[in-house]
Amino acid sequence: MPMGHYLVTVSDTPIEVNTDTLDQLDAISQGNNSYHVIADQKAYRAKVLDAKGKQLSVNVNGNLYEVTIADANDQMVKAMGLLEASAQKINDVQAPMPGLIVSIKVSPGQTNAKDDKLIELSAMKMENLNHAAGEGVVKSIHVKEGDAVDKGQVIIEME
Amino acid sequence: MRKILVANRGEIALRIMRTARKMGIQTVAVYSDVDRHAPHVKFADEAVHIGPAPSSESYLVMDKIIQAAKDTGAEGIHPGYGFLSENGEFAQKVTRSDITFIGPRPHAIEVMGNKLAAKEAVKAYDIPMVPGVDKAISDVTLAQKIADEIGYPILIKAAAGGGGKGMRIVDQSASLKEQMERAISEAQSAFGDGSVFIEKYVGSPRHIEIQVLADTHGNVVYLFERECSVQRRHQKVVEEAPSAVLTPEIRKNMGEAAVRVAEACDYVGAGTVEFLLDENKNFYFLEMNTRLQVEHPVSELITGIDLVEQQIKVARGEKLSFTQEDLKIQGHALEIRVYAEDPMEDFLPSIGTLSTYKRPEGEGIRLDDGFEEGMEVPIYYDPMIAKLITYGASRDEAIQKMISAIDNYHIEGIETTLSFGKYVCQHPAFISGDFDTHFVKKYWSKEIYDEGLKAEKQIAARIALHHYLESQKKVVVANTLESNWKTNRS
Repeated sequence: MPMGHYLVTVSDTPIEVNTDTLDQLDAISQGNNSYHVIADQKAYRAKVLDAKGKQLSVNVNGNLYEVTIADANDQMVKAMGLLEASAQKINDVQAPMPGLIVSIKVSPGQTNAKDDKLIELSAMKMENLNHAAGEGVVKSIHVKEGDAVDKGQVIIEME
Repeated sequence: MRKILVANRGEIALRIMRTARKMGIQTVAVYSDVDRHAPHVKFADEAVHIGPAPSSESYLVMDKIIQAAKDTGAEGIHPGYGFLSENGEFAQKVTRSDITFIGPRPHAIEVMGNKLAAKEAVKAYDIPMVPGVDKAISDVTLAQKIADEIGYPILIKAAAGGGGKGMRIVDQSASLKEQMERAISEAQSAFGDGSVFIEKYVGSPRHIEIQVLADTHGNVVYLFERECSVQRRHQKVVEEAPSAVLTPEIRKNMGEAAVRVAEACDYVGAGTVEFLLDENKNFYFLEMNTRLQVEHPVSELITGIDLVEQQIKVARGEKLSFTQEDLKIQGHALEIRVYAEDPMEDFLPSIGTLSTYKRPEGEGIRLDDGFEEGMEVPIYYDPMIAKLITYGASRDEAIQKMISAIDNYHIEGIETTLSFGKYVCQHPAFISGDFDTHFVKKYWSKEIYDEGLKAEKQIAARIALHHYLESQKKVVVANTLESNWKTNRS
């Protein structure tokens, strides 16, 4: 069994797990990927629902968790990726929610002040007005009115 | 009435059609471009395509819907909730086309649709009201004078308002002018009507509403209360019946007041009278909703009465077959609205494909939904995809059943309010019954929620890692066997 240190991300929460602490876990296997766990006198029923290599779905007491496992190697690769990603300008404007672009309030080359209205987004009867986080110059706009966007999609690139 | 058209979509369209079918009535669905695969379309006996996805070009176009009813020979139109359900003009047009509108008369919709007109209408009926003015007000000096009389904090509200829009709380007279101007401009842009009025702000209110039912023969009854205090963005998320705090005496007083409100506007059909209950259990009339409410199932479960069936019977001109004395509360019902929203991100919409959609089943569990696995949740409509309702002999039983129903309701592909619902059901304030409309503000944050799941996440991390390492072991063993084979053969 590969020993060592793993970074396990459970639904966005990173948890460090050392393999030698695994044996200390009071867990009994009940077959069919189910486990009964006792920790601090509390009982947990856990079941691995789906496992694709290092990506797993685990249900604990009725709550579903998406789990990603990273070994030392993965962690190193990720750290390098992060370095590259941080080169992307932090003030690019991303969609805060999925939706339809209702209107675009700025145009390329325009300088905007903090809190200026940038983009109006609508989804499910809810409207969301995106305000500038700081001062900046609009470099390019990646969407047009009526476009559908995903959450986190870059919609405006800043200089 | 042998055939009705349901001018709606999603869970409510399906729910109305089920009752119609049970009564031997044929059903007609209407649908937009993106709803061809929706269960309400597949369930109906006939279905009429009414246009593109945006509701302003489909579900909200009165003439298209009335034409669809004429073309299919539907004798009645049920509007459901939302869309055209509280549009007096629509009710009028339907009636003029010699089709029965399954709901109140246009007059009642119009009066109750405007908060000031509603106040005016119920004035003579001895209904407790929040202290304030009952006229639109734009003069700041006059507003100052009134606010001083009723005492701060006060609430500025839009006459045509709803859903919390155009509402402002003012703590002191210094900020009244500015807040009033903003409220007026907000009301103008949101509702096309800038009238605002002033009320005393009720500090920690509970939202309690009474279900009423009236026939065309002058009979009006109340089907007790629904407690809807757990809200986000002034919209309900968790509802229950009965309320954990009403005494039989207050219940009777509120019920009778609600009946008087219905009488004040000659109400016909199923309606809801909303009240605020303050910390001293004084209740005040808020507004009347002239339609079937989203949360009507909890009242159905505790009274055993199918409200849609009653709406249809009343529309056919039948007399109510029961009196107030026949109605009794039995057991307790709880409802969670399943919104396609991420409770961890301020309840912002979450859109996607339902890659997993497994319904919970069991005694005391009712699920009113309008989606199937593999379907996409469209961006164009209300984010509510389902209502999960549980019923038990006691409040505690209903809550426990809800927790296990949520655990057995598997939705993947989008975020939903189910996790929030479970949090509410396990929260001491909700369990004790001591909560108000500020529940979300007081008790809910991503940090608090994450803290509660810390232990489970630790377990999930270790079980997952154990599972992964075991699976790696198996792969290694398999490889060894294979190489042994080769050794033997050579």
